[in-house]
Amino acid sequence: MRNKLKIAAAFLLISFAAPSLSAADYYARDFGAVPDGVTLNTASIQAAIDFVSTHGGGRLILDQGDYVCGSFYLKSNVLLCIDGDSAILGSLNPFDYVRDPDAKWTALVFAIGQENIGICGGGMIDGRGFDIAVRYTDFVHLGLMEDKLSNDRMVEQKRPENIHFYKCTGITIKDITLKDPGCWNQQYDKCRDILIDGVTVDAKSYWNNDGVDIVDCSDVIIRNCYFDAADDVYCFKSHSEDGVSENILVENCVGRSSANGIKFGTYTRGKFKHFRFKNITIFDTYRSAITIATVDGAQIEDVVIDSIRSIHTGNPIFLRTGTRHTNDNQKPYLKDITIKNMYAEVPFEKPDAGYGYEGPVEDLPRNVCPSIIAGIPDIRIENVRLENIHIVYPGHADPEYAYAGTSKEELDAIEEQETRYPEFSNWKELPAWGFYIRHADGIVFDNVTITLAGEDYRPALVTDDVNGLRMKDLKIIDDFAPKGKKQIITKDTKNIRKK
Amino acid sequence: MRKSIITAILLLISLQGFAQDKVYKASFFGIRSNGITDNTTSIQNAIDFIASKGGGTLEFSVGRYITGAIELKSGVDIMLREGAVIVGSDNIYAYRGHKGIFWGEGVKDVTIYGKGVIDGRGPALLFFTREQIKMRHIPEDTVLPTLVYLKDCSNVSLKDFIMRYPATRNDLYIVEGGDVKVEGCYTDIRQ
Repeated sequence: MRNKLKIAAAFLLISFAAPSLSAADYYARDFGAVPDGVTLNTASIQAAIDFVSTHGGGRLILDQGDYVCGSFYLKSNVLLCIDGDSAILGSLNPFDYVRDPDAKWTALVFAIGQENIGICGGGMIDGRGFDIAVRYTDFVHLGLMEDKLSNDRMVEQKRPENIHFYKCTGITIKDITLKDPGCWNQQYDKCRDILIDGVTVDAKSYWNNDGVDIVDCSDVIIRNCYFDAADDVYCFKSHSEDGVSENILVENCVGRSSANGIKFGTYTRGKFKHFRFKNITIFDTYRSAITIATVDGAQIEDVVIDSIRSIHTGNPIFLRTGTRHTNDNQKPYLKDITIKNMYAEVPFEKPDAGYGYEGPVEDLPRNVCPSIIAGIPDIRIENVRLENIHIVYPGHADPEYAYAGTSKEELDAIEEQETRYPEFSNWKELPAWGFYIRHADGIVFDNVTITLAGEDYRPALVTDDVNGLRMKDLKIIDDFAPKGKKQIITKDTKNIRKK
Repeated sequence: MRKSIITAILLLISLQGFAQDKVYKASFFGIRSNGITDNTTSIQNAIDFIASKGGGTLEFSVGRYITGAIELKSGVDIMLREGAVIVGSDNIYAYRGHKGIFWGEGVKDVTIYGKGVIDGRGPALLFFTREQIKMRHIPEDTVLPTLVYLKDCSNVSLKDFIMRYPATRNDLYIVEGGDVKVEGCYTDIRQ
């Protein structure tokens, strides 16, 4: 209760505090910027921002065309207003970008340690990510830049994001389109009081095009947004052990991805608490609608995902712990997760086929994966409540193609994979079609229906090393099952309740 | 002591083996992983370049690489890393009458390997081809490309990768004469 009040109070504060930017209007054109889509405007726009910031703040308006730009820095009390028919276009010259020494990342629009800032106006930031990213790669081959080109691409920190705000307070991103960055779209790292409202993300241009990355931030609202992203849609990360992400609300948003929808991770070092998701639609998404993973020592607790539709998406739910980059001082946990009012349809075919930068074909052979709650022996997943959920799986699992059995020996032989990068496909074939649950305590199914739309040789639910499994109104609909098919396998599972 | 000498010799042998086998990343030749760019000429130039340097390996990392017909050259290996998908063009003209996406005649010492995929996009290519035949732009007996076509080749092997949707339906690959080894390859097409 107290937490709820705290969250409510924090959100009230943000919504009243944010747009107090109403001082004066300035035009970038008056500082020599030329919106012809050719002229490099970095110097004029930076000069304009510095001027507005040191003269009491106000709106800097970019109108009447396309402003080509390299890296620039937004300053306190400046609202960058990109007019509805105008855009900032990322320069196609890698030398026009800065890798910020404090933030350690490369971006088009930076803000470092500023307050009361924003971007608005109905216009667009287009990072022209494909062209700039391949030019970075070419520069490496030419010997002008250094990089290992792991996976044949430049490392993320060196490719330009559209927006990178670091240690800022009071951020409003409203009514703009973020298109095609060379890396992540918008990263907020160690920031507070963030409102992202009415933003459209259209980013399928290059690898790692995440929708939004919230890294060690608190008091964040994301609402009324639309995402079409090559990589994860909503990414909550922690880059430092003392980092805290808390009081975060995402509501009324629609997204699709060639990776995950809601994702906690992959860098998960600090604390995550008090997350609320409401009225979320995920569609045509390659991996999981919901991935909550702590693999680098993070403590994750109190996450409520309410009213979510997952349509034509590869996997509904993936909860995971691991020890990818943990150290002995950390006490990682993943607990108190509620997912309720969810409807999910999983297709047989690849859900993101035909989108730009499709998710990688990997971990084959496997039939369609179940939802997965997989702790490890040392980091168990605690208190997961699944309430009022209906999931439809496609079936058509072919045991000749991939097979996982349910004997004690076969279940024991499923690798823990504690240090691996977490994906729902890690185990290739798993022995259930609905849910596979391992090393977890306090799992509640309350009015959950799982339906099979085609034949599947596997049982619906497999649990292994679970303490506390409540199956209240768990309905399994498998019209293709041979008589006497056992749908629930509970190995080393204690305290099972059917009501 | 003896053990370490043997190890050293083994190491030398393997180092020698690798020394000849220089690995070139696909991006070095402007080959794009975006699933949009037609990479036919870039991949062909890459293979020709590597062959002219005495051989080596062309490495494809994760991504989708659209291409038409590519002629294999002696001493040039193709590495398809997990997640790398060679995607056959759905335009029959991109094959210029050749019998495979990768094709080789009389070549030797070539390995195509890795956990990646060669996807012929058969249904889409067949659809386009039928349309062209209907319009009498091409003859009815137009050659359809398989995934890998090898004629009179020696010491060629296909290893570990996934083969799917060849335009030649049941023939994932075609070997006519020569000495070709296929191991660990499989198809993931399920009806």
